[in-house]
Amino acid sequence: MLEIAGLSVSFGQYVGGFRRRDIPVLNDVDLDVDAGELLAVVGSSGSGKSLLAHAVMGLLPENAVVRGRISYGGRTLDESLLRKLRGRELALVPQGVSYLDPLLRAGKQALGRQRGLAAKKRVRSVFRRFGLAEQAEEMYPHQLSGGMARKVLVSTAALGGARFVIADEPTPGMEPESAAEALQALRELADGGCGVLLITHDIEAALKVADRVAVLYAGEVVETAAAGEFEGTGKVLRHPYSRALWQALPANGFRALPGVQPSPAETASCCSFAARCPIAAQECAAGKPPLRKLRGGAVRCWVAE
Amino acid sequence: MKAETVAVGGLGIGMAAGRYSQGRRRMVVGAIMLAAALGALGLASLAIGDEALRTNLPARHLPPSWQHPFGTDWLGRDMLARTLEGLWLSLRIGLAASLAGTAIAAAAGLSAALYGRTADRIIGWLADLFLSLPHLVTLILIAFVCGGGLQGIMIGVALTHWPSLARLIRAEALQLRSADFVHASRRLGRSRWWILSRHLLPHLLPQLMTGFLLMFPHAILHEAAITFIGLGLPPDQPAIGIILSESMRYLNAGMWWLALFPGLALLLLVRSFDRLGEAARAVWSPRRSHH
Amino acid sequence: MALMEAAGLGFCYGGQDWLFRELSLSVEEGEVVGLSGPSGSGKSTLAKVLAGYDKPIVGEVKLDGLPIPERGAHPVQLVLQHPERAVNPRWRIRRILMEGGTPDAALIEALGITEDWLGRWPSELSGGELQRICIARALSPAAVKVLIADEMTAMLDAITQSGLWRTVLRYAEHRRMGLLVISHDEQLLRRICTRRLKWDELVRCARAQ
Repeated sequence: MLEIAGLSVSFGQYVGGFRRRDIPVLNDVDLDVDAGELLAVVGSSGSGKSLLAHAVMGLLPENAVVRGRISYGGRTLDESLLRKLRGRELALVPQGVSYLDPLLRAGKQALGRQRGLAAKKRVRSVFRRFGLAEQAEEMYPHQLSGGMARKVLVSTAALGGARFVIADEPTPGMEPESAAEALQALRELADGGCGVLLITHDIEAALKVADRVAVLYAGEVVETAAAGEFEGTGKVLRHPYSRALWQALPANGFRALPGVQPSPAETASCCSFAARCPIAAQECAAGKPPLRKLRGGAVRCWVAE
Repeated sequence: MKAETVAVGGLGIGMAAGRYSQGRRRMVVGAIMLAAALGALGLASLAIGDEALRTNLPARHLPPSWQHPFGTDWLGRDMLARTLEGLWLSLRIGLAASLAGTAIAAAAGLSAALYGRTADRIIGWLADLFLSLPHLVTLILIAFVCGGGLQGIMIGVALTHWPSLARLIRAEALQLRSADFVHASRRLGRSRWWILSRHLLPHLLPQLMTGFLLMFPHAILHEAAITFIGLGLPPDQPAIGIILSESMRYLNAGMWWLALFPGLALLLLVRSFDRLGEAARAVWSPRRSHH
Repeated sequence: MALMEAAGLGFCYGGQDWLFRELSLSVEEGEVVGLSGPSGSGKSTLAKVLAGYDKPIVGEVKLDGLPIPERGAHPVQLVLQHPERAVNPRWRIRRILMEGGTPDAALIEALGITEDWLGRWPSELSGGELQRICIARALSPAAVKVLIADEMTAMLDAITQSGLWRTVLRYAEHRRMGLLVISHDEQLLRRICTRRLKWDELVRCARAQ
C-alpha cells in the first residue's frame, strides 16, 4: 500500500558565509506497509524516525533535499497526489494533543465537515469502537485525559475516511494504561483494513500492537522483523543493534552499550553500527552493508546469518 | 536503483520557513535603506551650515525651482535646508525620547513581573492611568510642567509611550520566570541579578528592540504635533512641527510648497520606521525567537 | 538521621485545592527510592517542591536534620523529562554545562559527553545527548546530596536509558548520594531501586478525585 524505496533526506545548511553543506539525516530507507498492517518504526532520538513521517506527509522544511521514491497504492506520492489525499485518505496522528481545537467538543471535532444524523451515528459507533464513552462526545479537549485525547485524534482520522495513518510518537508522557489504550486504537484501525505506520522510541509498547517492526539507527533501517521475533534473549533477531535494544529493556537485562549513535555523515562509507558492535568484523569498517533479505525479514549487516 | 527526486516541501513547515526568510530579508533591506537615509540626513544638515538658513529677503516666496527644490519661505530661507535641519532635530529628539521610553518600559515591566504583587499592582495602575488618557493631553501637561523646550518634549514622550511595551515585557518576563531553565539556574546557586542579566534580558532584547522601533515614529509624530501647537521649542529651532505650523499661515496665500514638502518628508520618515518595526516584529516574535 | 526528610508537606497552586497534604517522605544516604502513581496526582509538583523550585505551603524539607538555605546551590537537584525545556535555547552547550560549576571530569567521560558537543546549540543535540548535559549540570555543585529524576529517561530509547542509569547509579553510590526516581515504568523501578513507594502510601489526604 505504501512503499518507500531508497529514501534519503538531507538538509542543506549554510556554513559560514555562502558555503553550502548537505547534512544527511536519512539514508537509503526501504519500507513497505500493507493494508491492514501495523508497522512500527522504532529508534532513538536522532535516528531520523520523525523525519520519515514528515517525508511521507510532505511536511519537510524547505531546505530538505529528498531522493528516492515514495509510492502509495502503486502511484508516486508527489505533491499533487499528496494534496488530494492528505487529511482524508492519508492522515497523521500528531504528537501533541494541542492539535485539537480547544473550543470544540470532542464529538463535533471528530465530525469534521460532515453533518446530519447519519454522521452523528457514525461518530457514536466509531467512538464506541475505540473505547470512548458516550459522555466523551460532549467533553472539551481540556477535560479529556491524554489517552482519551489520543483516541479522539485516531477516531477523527477514521471518520475522515483514512485508509492510511501515520502516528508520530503518539504516547509520550502518558501513563502505561492510557498509552496502551491509544495504541490499541491504532490496532483497531489496522484490523479495519487501514495501513498504519507507528513511529515511536518505546519498543515495549509498540510490540504489543505491531505486526512488524523496523529498527532505525543513524538514519538507516538496520532490520525489519516480525513483532513476535522480539522475545526471550532476542537471539532470533538479525541485527546486533536490535538485539542490544531488546536486551537493554529493564525487563530483559538492562544491558548497556558503550558509545553513542553517530550522525549519518560520519558513517557514510562503513556500517553505522560498527564502532559499537560486539560482533564487528574487518569488512564492517570497510564498506556499508546493503539491506538484504534474511529469514523472512531484512537486515543491514555483513556478519548476520 | 535510479534515484528520483520526489517533490516535497513548499507546504506546512516549508511555507512558514519561506515567509520567515522573506521577512528577514525585507527587514535587512529596510534597515539598510533607513540607515542610508539617516546618514544622508545627518551629513546634509551638517553640510548646509548657516548660509542657506539666513534671511535673504530678495529671494522670498519662491516656488520650487532647481535652485531651491522645496522653494523658499517668507524670509527667503531655503525650505530644503530647513526641512532637513528640522527632520534632523526631530530625529534626535525622537531617538532620545524613545530610548528613554524603552528603558522605562523595560524597568517597569521587569519590576512588575519580578518584584512581587505590590509592585505589580502599582505599576499596572500607573500603566492604566497613562493608557486611559490620550497621549497628546498627557504630553501637553508634562511638557507644560517641564517648562517647554527640548527637555520637556523628551520627558513627555518618554513618559507617555512606555505602558504598552511594559505590559508586553511583563507578560514575557512572567513566562520566563517560571521556565524550567530559569528555575534550574536559581537552584544551581545563581543569584537573581545573574539570572536577570544572563537569562531574562537576552531573551527580552528582541521585544525591546521591536518596541523601540515601533515607538520611534510615534515619538517623532508627537514631537511634531506638540511643536505644531506651539508648546515645545522656541521658533528659532526649526523643528518640523514649527516649520509646519508657520507654513499654515501662508497656505491660503497659495504658497503650498511651504507645508507640502516638509510634511511629505516627515510622513516618509515615520512610515519607513513603522515598516521596519513591523518587519522586526514579524521576524522576532516570541514564537520564533525560541528557534 | 535521614539524609533528606520531608514531614507534613502540603502544597497547592494559588488558592486552588490541595495537590497533597501531610506528605511525609525520607531518603537515606546511598538509597535509591522509586516513586510511582497515577499521572496528574502531584508527583512532579512534589519533585519541584523538594528541589526548591516551589515553596511548600505547609511543612518543611530538611537535609541532615537542618533546613535548606535559600542561597547557594540547592543540595536537592532535579532532572526533568524534557531536557530541551531545562536549558536556555540561546546558550551554547559549554555554557549550559558550566552553569552550576565545573562538573567532575570522570562523570563527563562516563556520560559520554564529548568535546565537540560543547560548541553546539541545544537544538543541535538529540534528546538523549541533551539529557546527559542536564544530568552532568545537576551533579556539578559540590553541595548536591540528593538527585531527583522525574521521568528522566521516559523519552529515551532503551539503550540510552540503561546507559544513563548505570552511570548515574554508579556516581551516586560513589558520592553516597540519595536518589528519588519518579517513573511510570514499573520494570525500570524494579530494576534500579532499593526501596519503592506508591503515591497513595505517601499522602494521607490526597486531592479528592
